[in-house]
Amino acid sequence: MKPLTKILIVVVATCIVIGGILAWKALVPSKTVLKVFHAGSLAVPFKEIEETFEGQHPNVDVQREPMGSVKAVRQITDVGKQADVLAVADYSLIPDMMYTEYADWYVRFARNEMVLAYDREKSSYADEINSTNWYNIIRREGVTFGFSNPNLDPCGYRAVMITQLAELYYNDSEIFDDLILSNTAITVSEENETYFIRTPEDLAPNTGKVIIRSKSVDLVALIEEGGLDYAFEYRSVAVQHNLKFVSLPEKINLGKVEYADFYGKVRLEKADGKTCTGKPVVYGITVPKNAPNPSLGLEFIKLVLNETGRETFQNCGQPPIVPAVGSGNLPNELGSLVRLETGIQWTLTMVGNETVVLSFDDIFYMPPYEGWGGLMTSTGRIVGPFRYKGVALNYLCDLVGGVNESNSIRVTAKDGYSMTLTYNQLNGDFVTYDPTTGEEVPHGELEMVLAYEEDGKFLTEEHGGPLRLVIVGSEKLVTEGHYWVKWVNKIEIRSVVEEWTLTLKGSITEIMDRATFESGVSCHGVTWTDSKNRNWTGIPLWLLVGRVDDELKHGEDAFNDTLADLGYTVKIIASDGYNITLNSNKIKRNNNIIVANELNGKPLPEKYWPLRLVGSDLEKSEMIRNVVEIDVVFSPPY
Amino acid sequence: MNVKYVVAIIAVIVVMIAFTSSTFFLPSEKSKKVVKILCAGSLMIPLKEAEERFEQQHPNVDVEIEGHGSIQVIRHITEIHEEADVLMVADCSLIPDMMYRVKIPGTNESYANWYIRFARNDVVLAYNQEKSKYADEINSTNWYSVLERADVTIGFSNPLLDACGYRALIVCQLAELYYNDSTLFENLITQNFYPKISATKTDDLYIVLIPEVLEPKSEKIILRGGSVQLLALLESGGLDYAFQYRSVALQHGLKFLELPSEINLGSAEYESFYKKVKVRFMLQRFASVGTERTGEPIVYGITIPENAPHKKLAVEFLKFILGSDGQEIFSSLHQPIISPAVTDNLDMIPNTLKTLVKGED
Repeated sequence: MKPLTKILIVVVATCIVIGGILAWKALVPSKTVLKVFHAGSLAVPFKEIEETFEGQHPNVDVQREPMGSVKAVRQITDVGKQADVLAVADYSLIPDMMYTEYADWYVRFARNEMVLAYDREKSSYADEINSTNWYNIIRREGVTFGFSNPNLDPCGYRAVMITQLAELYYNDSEIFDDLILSNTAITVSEENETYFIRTPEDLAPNTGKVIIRSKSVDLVALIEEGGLDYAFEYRSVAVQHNLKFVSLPEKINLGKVEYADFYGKVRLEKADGKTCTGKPVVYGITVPKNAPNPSLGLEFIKLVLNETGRETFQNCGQPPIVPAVGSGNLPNELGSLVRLETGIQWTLTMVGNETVVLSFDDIFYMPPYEGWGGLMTSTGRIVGPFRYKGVALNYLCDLVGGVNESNSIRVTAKDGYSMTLTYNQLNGDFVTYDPTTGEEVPHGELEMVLAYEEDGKFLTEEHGGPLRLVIVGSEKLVTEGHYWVKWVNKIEIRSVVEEWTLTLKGSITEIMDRATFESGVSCHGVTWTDSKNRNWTGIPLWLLVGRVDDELKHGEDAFNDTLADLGYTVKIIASDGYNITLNSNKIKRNNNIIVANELNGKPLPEKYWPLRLVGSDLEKSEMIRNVVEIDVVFSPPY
Repeated sequence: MNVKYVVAIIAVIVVMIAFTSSTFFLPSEKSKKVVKILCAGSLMIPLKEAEERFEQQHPNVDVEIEGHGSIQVIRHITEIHEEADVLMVADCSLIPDMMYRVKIPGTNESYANWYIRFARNDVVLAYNQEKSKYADEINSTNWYSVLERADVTIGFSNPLLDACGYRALIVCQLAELYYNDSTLFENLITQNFYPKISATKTDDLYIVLIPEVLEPKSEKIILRGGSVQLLALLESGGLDYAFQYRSVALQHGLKFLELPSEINLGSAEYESFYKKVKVRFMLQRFASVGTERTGEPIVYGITIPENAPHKKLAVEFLKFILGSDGQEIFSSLHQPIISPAVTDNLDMIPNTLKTLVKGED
């Protein structure tokens, strides 16, 4: 080959390659763009997810546009812009503003909540504050607290709402007055148990106590410098800025869908005249119907919902909802990552070692138990048997610490009806009847189930739905209907206790039962610590005497001072008849003589049970045990 | 055409006309007026009888009867918001307690403002002549010591769930007073339960405390949700003795021992003695009903709820129950009647009933 030919070949080859590249570039755009509109508070986690997504899809360029949630929706519905993913801080905006022209499904995937952020070293009483005393600490003289401007930042109006909810939750009607009303120009009025707060343009904060900034992030630096003790912030902001924070109770922190009704008791009218209602901060995401790249949008949402996405949200202080909850015409691709919402509004409160509030969906997605069961009414009529599906009561009880022989289970319905089950009943100890003859017949294993389905359909309200306690097994047998509690909304694990009474005799006679005595202790209880450092708790003797010394049993004047001054004796009698007497002048309004029903927070041990007379004004020999009766003995008139 | 065919066709046509016209001229089930009766379970048998006879007299009326515990009967109207035309309960005091002050939603009217006392009952000890232990030996003076014997089983309905059940406990406590045997209640009741059913005694008042959970400690006691569920056990010999209402025992053909009037809750005469005993439940089963019951004569009450959909027919039914038909039915089924029946509010009852009842003294 001639050198010229060689050169020519090289040139031609080079031209072909370059031309090819140019043609490629001209024909195929370099990267596909994925548009994401999202709430400002999602910026940090979404930035991370963007990077991961682009790593997985090198040909895709994710373009995020953070903005207020309402504005993000309007960009699509009003302005005519297009996005492949829309994520908002209030999921209800999607059905309310977009259904069904611009979207017909959404997924609730993460939540946020309000916390009280502070600095461990610099904030006053930082070593003392916790989720039960916070509202008293920030009320203290010299303590400052802050929130963002409610007229400009949703975090700000949520802070104001929380102080009103706290009033209801803690049953302390001064919280809002002390924190907000006394220190700002904000006002409140109440109507039918709904609270209307108004935030004027000029909030006129008393800056010695309350600091208000336009954005909640602006308060972070103040806290770090020590210029502010406490600030209401989103949990995510506190976590992302490494601030210490106090978690607030779920019922007021605006973080749980289950408490939406309670949050809704507070409404706030901003200076521009717009009204906001207390709502949970729960994030919703969807692919709008007019998305240019819907399948890519769905891919992005899958990343948000899977393990990686969840971890990102956890680290950013926006706890993921696991599994995420879908609503509407959900795409099949999301099936394994999302559970579809049933739409049934109901909550079940489980009380055991802890209290857990479950939504209907929580229960619906628990491991199901199926079986046959029917009931016999008190007049002998037989209903069923039907096929039931639900969750075993044992399974539910295990969520709050489980049940043993020393427990009973109280089941309460929406209408206030209550039934208590024994441990043995929980484990299937029931009499069963033949559904045709009505005769008692033996049975195999039975299970108590909180049912949501009867013969393959959701239980209707008429049949005791959405949740009804049923007794089922593999045989088609019938049990007594008393235990088939309809409309269940509360289940409590309780202790089985021996009942007792205290007889009080004076001008009148009262037989006080354990429950009445215990409720007395919760109002008027006093505690005495003995020399062995044991704590005895009970009711001061004079208060019990006050119930029977004259006809007046309750209130300030229940204890008759005049009679006490005239003089009588009080005889305290044990179950074996042993007794001591005390004079009225010794017991008169004396909180150091106590009839105790608790030792170190528990019922008295058998040796002292049920009651023991104790206190610092008694000799050891006067502290009699097994007390069952107290007599007020008036001296005969001469 | 064959004559046979013509005959057959005519026959078919005749039958068809007859059939369609009968459904046209006779009242069908659908066109009948329904009178809904909510009643105490212990009235089911006499009311079935009443239903038949009333429907014979009123061919256009379909009587529907639904039985529950008496408290539930009232709750079905005041809390579950069902409608009924007539309401009959085994404890007449429940009507003023649970209905007089409760307003029908959206109105200013109470669910009821009068009632009529029309029947009584009393507590007996039912048993099986052949199968119950010591059946040939038991009588009204030794019954409690027979029950105390170790091999004898005693049944009653769950006092938390059924009025006959707590009434059985009241009877036992009254028996202790009446027979002056201070361990009777302890032996029959208290020691057979864990947690215990205890009785606290003062000079003039006895309180029987019923714990939140009720479980017999021994085989001696057999508890069922309702007294009806004890009947089969008595018949099969699975149970020796059961506290039952007299009417229920008689209606089911059971042998029974009559208890003295002083303790059987059947006699107005002994009201003040019955009142010495109260039961107190440590479970508030109904949010709207208190947790204490006092020993009282068993008196059945009847009323027409203010929101009854068929008031006229309801009044007809009351006339029937309080008149000679009703009296005959109840007497033949051994439910003692109050004759004439007594109302707490003569001014408020429907006019046509005024000749059948009298006011309180």
